Amino acid sequence: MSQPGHVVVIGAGLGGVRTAEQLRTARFEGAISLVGAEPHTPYDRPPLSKQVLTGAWTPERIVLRDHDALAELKIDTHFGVPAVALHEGAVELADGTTLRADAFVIATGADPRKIPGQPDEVHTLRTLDDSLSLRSALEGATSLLVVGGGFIGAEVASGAVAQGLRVTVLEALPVPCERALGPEVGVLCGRLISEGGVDLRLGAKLTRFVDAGTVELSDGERLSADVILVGIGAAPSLEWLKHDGVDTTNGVRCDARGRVLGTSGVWAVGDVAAWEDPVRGKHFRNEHWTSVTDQAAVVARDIAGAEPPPATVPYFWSDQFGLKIQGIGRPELGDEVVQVKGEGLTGGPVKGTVAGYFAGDRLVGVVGFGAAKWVARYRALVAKGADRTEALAME
Amino acid sequence: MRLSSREDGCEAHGQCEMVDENLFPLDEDGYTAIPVEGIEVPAGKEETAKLGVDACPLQALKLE
Repeated sequence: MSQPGHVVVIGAGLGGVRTAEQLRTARFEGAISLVGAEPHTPYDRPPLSKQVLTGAWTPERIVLRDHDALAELKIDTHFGVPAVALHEGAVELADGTTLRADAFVIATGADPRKIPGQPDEVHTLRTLDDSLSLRSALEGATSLLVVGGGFIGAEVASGAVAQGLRVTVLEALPVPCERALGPEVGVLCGRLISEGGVDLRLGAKLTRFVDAGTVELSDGERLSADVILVGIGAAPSLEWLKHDGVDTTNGVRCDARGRVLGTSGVWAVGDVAAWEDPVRGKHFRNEHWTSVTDQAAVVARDIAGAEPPPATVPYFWSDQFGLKIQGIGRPELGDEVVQVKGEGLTGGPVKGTVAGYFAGDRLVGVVGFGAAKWVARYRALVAKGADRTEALAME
Repeated sequence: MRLSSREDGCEAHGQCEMVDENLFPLDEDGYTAIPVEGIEVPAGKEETAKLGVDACPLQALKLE
């Protein structure tokens, strides 16, 4: 297959930048354009709810590739101008520019979900500007209310508690992170939050915002805080995509090489993309750092006509309340959770607990709490789908 | 080509080891064993080294 002459990568977050870089690594010699909605030099997002938010790191530290580094790779950049439409062979930008190309990579990411009636002053956290704005609000505050007990909410809560704020977290479900990690491990996530000094309200249904600092719950209780953050997940950024034939029901549906179904010459990576997952046997949208970088490598090599990179095992993490939660594999495929290390699932300390997820006799995932050395050791077992005997024998 | 780690950069994600467990060994606690002063990348392992460096979520490894 001959290489395209010009690839336009739409979206300059981790997925977009990595795709552009990996095209050069894969010896793609044509032109590359990188389009980004934000004016900033491309940056990495995980620290936005962690080190950047707490002030431990300056924004410079999260830069992925500065202008010089992109220029060195002969990547032409269009930052601060979102794409507004994708047509056959061309992408249209907000400033009226049309970029013609023979290959397109959609990497526009996701936007934070909002609650109907959510006032503009209420924070969400997705971009560098969001992080700096939240940080500045927290500096003068004594209380924080977080809506959503997922990883982002818990990380922000953790940092705020450490800074001396009174923090309340509302979680609509009976345990946090239930969908991703299951009820047993969700209980551990909840313990981590409440043992960390947060007032965690489980099964709390928010019915409306009374104003920018007050919410009302379904039982009529009102809760107020100096700062409110809504962290209830993100939805793929697709409004701009009007390409005929693209199925955008829950992300852009792609095959296992990232080619967008129903198109030719269009790929998609990252939060916006629902790739076919041969292990799950269906299309799946991942929002993990590592799945984005893995996908970028696959797509770049496919475009450049190079061999695909070796298969990888999914990995995700969260830093909160003094420890790292690390997950490997596909925990949601498990039908049974077994405590393979530590005592957290039987009421002991959360730290040091490792949960193994089994589908029948096969290990499909592992989640560790402050147990990096064990997580590292289980990785190979998850990768090969070890049986129960081998998984439980790990010393 | 030299492969080195940044001082206090590693947070034990272990993604480099997944790329190549021989080139990117971890210590007992799951942190990179690549020293700050670096090691010489064995001939023929340059591409793998790049993959491992790119796999780090902390940009804690560097190739020079």
